[in-house]
This record gives sequence, C-alpha cells and structure tokens, in this order.
Amino acid sequence: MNVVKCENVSKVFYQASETIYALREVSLSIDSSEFVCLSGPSGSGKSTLLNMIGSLDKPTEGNIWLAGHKLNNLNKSEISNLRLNEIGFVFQAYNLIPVLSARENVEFVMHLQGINTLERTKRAMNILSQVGLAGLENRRPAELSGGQQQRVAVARAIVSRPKLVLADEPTANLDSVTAQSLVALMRHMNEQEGITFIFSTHDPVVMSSAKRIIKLKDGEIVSA
Amino acid sequence: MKIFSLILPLAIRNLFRNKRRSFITILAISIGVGSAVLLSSIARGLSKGLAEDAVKTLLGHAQIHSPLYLKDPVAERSFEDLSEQMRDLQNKNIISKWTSRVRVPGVILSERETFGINIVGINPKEEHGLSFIENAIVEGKFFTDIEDSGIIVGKKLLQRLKTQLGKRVVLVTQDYNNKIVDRGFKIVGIFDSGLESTENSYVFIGRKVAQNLLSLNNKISEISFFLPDDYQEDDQIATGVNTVNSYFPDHEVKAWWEIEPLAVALRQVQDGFLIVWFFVVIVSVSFGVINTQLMSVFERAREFGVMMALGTSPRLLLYIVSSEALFLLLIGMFFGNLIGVFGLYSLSSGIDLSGFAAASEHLGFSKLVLPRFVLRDWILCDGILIVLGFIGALYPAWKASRYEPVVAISGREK
Repeated sequence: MNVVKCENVSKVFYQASETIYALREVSLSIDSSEFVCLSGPSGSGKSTLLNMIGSLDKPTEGNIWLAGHKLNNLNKSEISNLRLNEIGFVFQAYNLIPVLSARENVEFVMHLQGINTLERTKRAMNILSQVGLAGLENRRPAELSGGQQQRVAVARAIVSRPKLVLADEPTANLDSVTAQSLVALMRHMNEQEGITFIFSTHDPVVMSSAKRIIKLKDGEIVSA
Repeated sequence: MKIFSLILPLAIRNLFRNKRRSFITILAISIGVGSAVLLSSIARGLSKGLAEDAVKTLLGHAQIHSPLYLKDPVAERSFEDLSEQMRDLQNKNIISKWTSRVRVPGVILSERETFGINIVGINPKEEHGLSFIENAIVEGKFFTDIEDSGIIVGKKLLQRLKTQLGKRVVLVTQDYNNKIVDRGFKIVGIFDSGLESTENSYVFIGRKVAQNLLSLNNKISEISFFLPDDYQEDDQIATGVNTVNSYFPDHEVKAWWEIEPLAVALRQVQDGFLIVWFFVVIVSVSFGVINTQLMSVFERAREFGVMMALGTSPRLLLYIVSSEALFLLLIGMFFGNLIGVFGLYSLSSGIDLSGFAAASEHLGFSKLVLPRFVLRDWILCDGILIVLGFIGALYPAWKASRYEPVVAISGREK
C-alpha cells in the first residue's frame, strides 16, 4: 500500500526574471514500511521534495497523496491535523523546543493529540529509553549534545506512531559514529514499528543503510 | 485541557527565556499602571478635598431655600424660620446638625475702597462644626451671639479694602421691602479660609442684626444642614436630601452640588481627564508590549515553524503567543497596583501644597491633599490595560500564526 504517491510534481521559484525549477515532474510511490533514502548533491531538490511530501510546502504543479489524502485538496486545518497524526519530522538542526525538557519535547505531539498525561509520560519515557536517553529526560536541549538532541528529535517523530517519518539530512550535524548510531536507531524503529522512513543525505555511509535509494539531480529523479 | 497543560506552561517559560527583556517590559507596565492609579488617587483626593471644602465653607450637605432664592438671592425671598421642623428632623436622626442664616448681596465700603460681597447673618452657636468660620478666625474674635454688632471679614478682602481690625466699614443692601439700607460695623474679626474667593466674597454679621437691618423680623434666607455620619457618598447624600425634601414641599431643598455647579463641573472635567490619562499611559505601555512580542515572535520564527510542522494549528499558536502577552500584562498590572498601594501608603499623611499656596487658594484646592483610593478608577485603569494591551498583542500573535512552516524553518521569515 502506498504511503506516499507523487504525480508529476514540479516546484518552480522565480527570482527576478529567472525561473528556477527546484523539482521537475517528479513521480514516485513509496510503500508502507519502506526505509528510503533521497540522495543527491546540494540543490538537487531533496529538501524541497521532503517538504512537499510533508505538506510543509505546496507544489507548483502535480499531485501528492499522503496516507490516502490528496494534499492539494486539504485546507490549513486539515493539513495541520494530517501532519499531527500521520507524519513525524526530524530536521537537520534538531529543532527542539528550547524551553521544554527532553521528555516534554517528546510529549509535545501527544499533547496536541490530546493524549492524557499518564499515557503521555509512559510513552515518552519508554521511547526515550529506547533511543538510549534514559536518565536524561529532564534535561533541556541546551544541556544535551548534538547526537542526544537528534535522538530526542527522532523520539519525538516516532512517539505518536505516525505512518511516515521525514528526516531532512538528520546526520548532517553529527560526527560519523553518532550518525551511524542514529541511522541504526531509525532502521530499528522501521523494522520494529513498521514506520515508513524517508530521509535525505549525501553521506555515502548513511546512504548504504537504506533499503531503497532515490537519486535526484537538478530536480529530477535519475534513479529510483 | 490544552490551556492549563500546554499553553500556560509554555507561555510562562517563554517569558523567562529573555529575562531582561521581560523585566524591562514588566517594569514599564508597572510604572505606567502605578503612576496612573496613583495620580488618579491624588486627583480623587483633590476632588474630595474640593467637595469637603465646599460643604464646610457654608453649604453643608444641602440647603433649604425659598423657591427662586437661588436665582435671585435677595431679602425679599426670605422665609419664616423652620427651627421647630428642623429640630424634629434632628430628633428623628434624618439630619445631624443645621443652622439658619440670612444671606443677601450687598456692598461693603471702607474709607478707600468699595466691593460687592455677600452679607451673611449667622448664629455663632449653630455654626460650630457646620461651617469653617469659627475655626478660621486669625485675628480678633468670633461672635458670641446673634446680636453681636461687629463684622467679620476675610483677610484678602481686608487687604483690598485697605483697612484693618477695629476700623469701621459700611454695608449697603436692599431690605425686605426693596429699600436701600445701610449700617456701619466695626471689624471685630478677620478670617483666613485658605480660599481667596471665599475671603473676598463673604462678610459675617450677627443673624439678628441682619434681620433687623433687612426688616425681616424672624425670616431667614437659608437653612444649611448636615446629614448623619453614614451619609458621605454623593448617592447617599442624594437619598438623604430627598427625604428632607419630602418634609418641605413649599421650599427648595438642594444638595450642595446643585447649589455649587462649578465644583461638579470641575469633578466631571477631572473624570474625563483621568480616562484620557489612562488611555495615554496604557496605549504607550501597550506599544511596549507589542514591540516586545514582535521581537520575540521574529526571534522564534524557526521554532514556530517547527511547532506548525509537528501539527500545531495556527489557532493554538495564536493562543500561545497571546497568552504570553497576557501574562506580561497581568504581572505588570500586579506590580503596578502594588506601586500604587505603596504610593498611597507613603502619601497617607497627605501632600502638602502650601508651597503652592497662591495657586491652590486661587483654584480653590486645600493646602493638604489626601490621596483617595477609588476602586472603580483602579479597576478602570487595569481593565483598559488588559483590553488595549491584549488587543495590541494580538498582532504579533496573529503574525506568528500566519507563518508558512517551510519559510519559518528555513529562517527566511520576516
């Protein structure tokens, strides 16, 4: 079953009199439980494609279906709900909420979903333990290392059991050991929980752990 | 409930995020609110002092006159003494004290000058505790009875007449039959009321002497009375006056503010000024809050983008940011009121305006102003702060809620 389906998706930016194609007629399908890597050089359109799939941005042309929903047809509120319940995000710069502790960051999405305190805390503690952060639950992001922060971000992305996790260069700011450990964690979650992962990278070591690699160049898929 | 478990904790923590900025904003709100409420209390104190001065000068809480006397206060509009009925009201505790007076316009002449004045015939025994005159004698003596043949004049008038204690002056006026009458009086006392207009406007003689001069027999011009001690506020006084009025259907019974409309006009101007002042202060403070919140929103654009990416709805984001502003306003309001309370406490012995004696005498204010706490003013000030401040703070919150996640996360949001 397709979790993601893109049909002739293009994204065009206009700068002065110049027209820039960030994506050019991209079509792809990603099935449930896949562990997909988007690879390609800088400017190839990896982040743009992830943003489109994650409904953070709208395509100039083409259609995207996510978990059966056609994104073009949804209003802002429906898109918020879709992101809340179906998608988890991991960003390159961790992007944790600085005033919340590790546990509270993980709980944040569940909070929005209206899950009760007891269940929230139980699930957050459990997932933090799974990502190797037991004992660090009450630390704020500033008190954690980059690798630890990214683990919190992964925990936050998967704790609400989304259908899809989108990770935009999640290892870019990490050293190679931490990067491999993070990818191993994501792979583990993919196999254990059946969550679909799509992540972008241009690190060949990280790329090698993917089950499927989609290569992009100049906004076009060159191999899938 | 997301309000208590998510929005409020986030709002409070975000306030502590930039302590210095929050502190400065709260300080600005506190000083604004503190100064507004304290000034309102001082203004109310001035107003109350003005009212008390008016009441204690000669007005009392209310007066009884013959119909049309207030329009044309001449001897012809005098009426038979109502002492018996007034004693009856006093026994029923409807009034606490009262006095009957003769009051007509006239002219006073010294060897050098002539001025128009009000001649007031008083009963010195009844004036005790009812008007200022007994305690305002600074030279000479007060009358001993209603047949005292002397005259008491104000300090300012004495200067203008270019005469002195012990000298003689002449009063000229019209009697009950509209005949011009005059009589010489020896100045036996000088009063200092602290109010230039009072000292220039009134001269006092014995009531019986006035009645004889004006051919009034036992007639009088006015009865001034005070209501019992539990009638202090205007609405209470109005109720008391209505009760007294029902006993005298053939006379006019008017509260002091109906007789002295200038004092009322001054209070109304003051009310308007206070509201304008509140608005000016609060609008200035609100701009501070808007500025703080805008800076905060711009700085946290990426964070808001992430929160939206995670599924936070624009409406929830609006609530989070506006509740931060609400907290700033509430904390500032609390400390502002505290400043007001401390200010009131430290000024509880009064503000001495004797350094501005000439101005205060001219304007009719007392030399000592006691700030007065009026809950309604404080609630009004706090209410304006919260409403205007919150409306202003909705703009940054709205701006945050309109962010496009992808633009905000990339740091390109402006």
